[in-house]
Amino acid sequence: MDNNTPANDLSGNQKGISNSTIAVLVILALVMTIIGTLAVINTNNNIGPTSSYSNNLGKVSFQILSSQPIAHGTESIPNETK
Amino acid sequence: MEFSNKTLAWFVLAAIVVSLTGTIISLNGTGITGYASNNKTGNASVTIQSQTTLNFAVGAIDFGTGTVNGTAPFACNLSNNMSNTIQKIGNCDGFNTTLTGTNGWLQIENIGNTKVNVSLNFSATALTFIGGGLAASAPLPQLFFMAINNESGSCPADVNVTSMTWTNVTSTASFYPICWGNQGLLSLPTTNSMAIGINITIPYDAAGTKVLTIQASGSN
Repeated sequence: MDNNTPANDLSGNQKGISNSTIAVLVILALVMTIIGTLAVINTNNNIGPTSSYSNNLGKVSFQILSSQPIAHGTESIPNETK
Repeated sequence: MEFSNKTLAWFVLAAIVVSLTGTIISLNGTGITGYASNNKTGNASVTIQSQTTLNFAVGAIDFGTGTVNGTAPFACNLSNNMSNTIQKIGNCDGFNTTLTGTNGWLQIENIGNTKVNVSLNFSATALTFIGGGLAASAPLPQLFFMAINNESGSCPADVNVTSMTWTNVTSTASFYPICWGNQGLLSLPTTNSMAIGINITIPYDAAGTKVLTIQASGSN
C-alpha cells in the first residue's frame, strides 16, 4: 500500500488513514511526551541559581540648604549724634 | 518493508498510551513497585547547590536636611556611629540627629548557604556626590566608609581591609573589599552580617539634594 494513499479512493472506498491524520497523532505524541517531561522536572527538588543578589543596593542621602554666612570684619556701629 | 498507514497509526497510538502512562506514574510518585527482593536497602539523595545571596538588611542612611553655617573655610562633618546617632563636627546646622535602623549603620548580610567575599562599589566620589570645594578658600568634600562585623565573627578577619578605619572613596570604578579571604563573609544564621558606616565632609559652598548608591557584590 502506498503510504501517501488518500483516505478514500475514487470509488469512495476507505483505503487507510491519511498522512495528515498520522501527522496529527504524531504531534499529539510529542505534546504528551513534553508534558510528561515537564511534570518530572517540576517534581524534582531543584534549587535555584548558584548566585543571586536580592537587595544589594544601599543608599546614602542628605540635603544641603543655602548656607548662612556669618558676618565677619568690623561690626557696624550706628551713627551717634555728634 | 513498508508499514501501512493504519499500522503506523496504531504505533503512534501505542506511543501515546505509553507516554501518558509514564506521565501518570511520575505525577503520582508511586512508580512501579516491581519484585521485592531480599535487598531492601534504599538510597535517597538530594543535591543542594551552593547559593550566595547578599541582602541589605538596613539599606539607607539619611543624614537629613541642613546647612553649613558659615563661610570659608567652614565645613560640616557628618558620620554615623553605633549608638544610632549622627555625629556632627564643625559648622553644622540642622541635619538629623538620629538614624533609623538597628544601629544606624548600613547592614549587609549573606543570606545564602555558603561563604562569600564581599566588596562595595560607590556610584560617586566625594566631588560628584557632595560637591562644593570649588572656591579657593573652600575645603574639599570628603567621602569615607568603614566596614566592621555587625555580628561577631561574621567576617573571620581573613582580610577585613576597612576594619575600624575610614577608607577614602576615590573611584567609582573600584570595588572596595570589605571581607575577603579563604573564609569570607559567613552564612551562619547569627553570624552573617557586616555594618557599613559613612563619613562625609560638606564644604560651605555645596548645595542641593544628594544621593549616593552603594552596591554590594559577592564572589566565591
